[in-house]
Amino acid sequence: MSPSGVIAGGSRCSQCGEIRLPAVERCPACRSTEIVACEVDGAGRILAVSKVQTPPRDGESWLAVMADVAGGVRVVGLGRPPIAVGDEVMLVADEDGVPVFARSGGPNGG
Amino acid sequence: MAANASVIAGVGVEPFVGRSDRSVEDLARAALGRALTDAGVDLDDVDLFVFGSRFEHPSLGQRTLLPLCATGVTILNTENACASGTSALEIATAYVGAGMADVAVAVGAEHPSDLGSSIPLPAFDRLARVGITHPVRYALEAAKYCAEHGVDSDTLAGVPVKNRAHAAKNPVARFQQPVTTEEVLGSPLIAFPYTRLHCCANADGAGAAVITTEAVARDRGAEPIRIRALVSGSGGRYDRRIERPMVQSLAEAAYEQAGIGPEDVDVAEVYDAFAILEVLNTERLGFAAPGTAASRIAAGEFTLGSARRTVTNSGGGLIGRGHPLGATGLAQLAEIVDQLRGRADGHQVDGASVGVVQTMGGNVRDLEANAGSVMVLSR
Repeated sequence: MSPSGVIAGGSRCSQCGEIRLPAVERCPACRSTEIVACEVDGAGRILAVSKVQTPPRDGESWLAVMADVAGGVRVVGLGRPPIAVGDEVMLVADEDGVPVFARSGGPNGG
Repeated sequence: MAANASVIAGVGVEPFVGRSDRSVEDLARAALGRALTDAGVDLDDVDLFVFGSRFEHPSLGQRTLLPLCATGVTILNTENACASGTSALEIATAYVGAGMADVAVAVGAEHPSDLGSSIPLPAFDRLARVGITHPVRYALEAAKYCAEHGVDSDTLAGVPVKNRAHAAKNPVARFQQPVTTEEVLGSPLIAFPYTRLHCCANADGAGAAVITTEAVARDRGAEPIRIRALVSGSGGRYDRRIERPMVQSLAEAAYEQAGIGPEDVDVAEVYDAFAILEVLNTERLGFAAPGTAASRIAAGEFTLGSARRTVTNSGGGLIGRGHPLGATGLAQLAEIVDQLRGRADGHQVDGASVGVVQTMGGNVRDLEANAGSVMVLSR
């Protein structure tokens, strides 16, 4: 679980502030190597949702999602229903290193 | 880099099947033999072999050549995900272009029926551990495309409908029956919007190509196919919006190198492991404006017999031909060579004179792609 709503394993460039996930050792924006580890705020917006039948999880279908979170970081993870494209979401859990999102607001209600 | 000195002198594909009782080495030898015959080249003339495969045991080249007593010359083995065969071709082309080989053969072979229904994903792949396999990952890409461009996801069925229709006319393709839109949408759901028929299937098979100089090709009576451009690269990190997709960059560079534009391309092999990849790659190769390819494919464009350029995946693509990972790039090449030589019986694009081969491969999840290339070919 990640009750603080952040994703571990990111990095922030000390020179230009660019955030990347997973962490980099050299900033792709400014080429600086002054990089510090950071957590990434998991608040963001859903870009895509896929209901997955194969492989099932515990015999049931489930939701995979793509989201843009704080700092423009794009992540792929799991979604807790109901969740749809355009929804504002927050990170509610971490499953084996993969973020789990749930709706926090947005066009489809929150 | 330009590779103007190298030409394709011959190609060969051992037909793709769902499961072959023959070994991968046997399939590779069969494709090799076909390509040598096509080029009019003797095995003993070959001074470089480059093999490409994704999941086969290392040293596929040496094992393949052992019974032919063809070792002694340089043998290279390459792995570059689903672009492994194309990478082998790139290396062979570069060797000939650099004068390091006179007659090179690139061979791609794979026997994935040994692996089960889906390609294996490693334990360190965190997304695979929770079930986000490649089809799921590209289903998300498809869902994103449809949301961004207001495209009805049912239109994606146009890709398998077109490619299966083409494959039905291509004797080397695994799938010899066309499918309807209803059959695509009604086949078992994998991950919305994908049903099973939106995804390429494994196949066992092999492909090969002979790369040499124009002088050698003409001396052996082979019609040389010119490599007007061959541009390769790798993808960027996928943890932000990709400003300039890899395939777009490669295509622009390839067209510039060849001195042509996308409007000059008669026939193209467009990488289509999943339906959305053909849609995106069609746009990134410049054949359709962003957001329009899915609808245009569904409307019957890019299909054999269509009045307008360009015909894409005339041989069925990965969706119709099946996808023996390392062999795919060489099957793509063979299709375009057959088209440019006017011998693609039953699925010939009339008057095809300029062709494109686009391949990509990926398995490092935080990258847009492991590898990719765009090649421009002409008579």
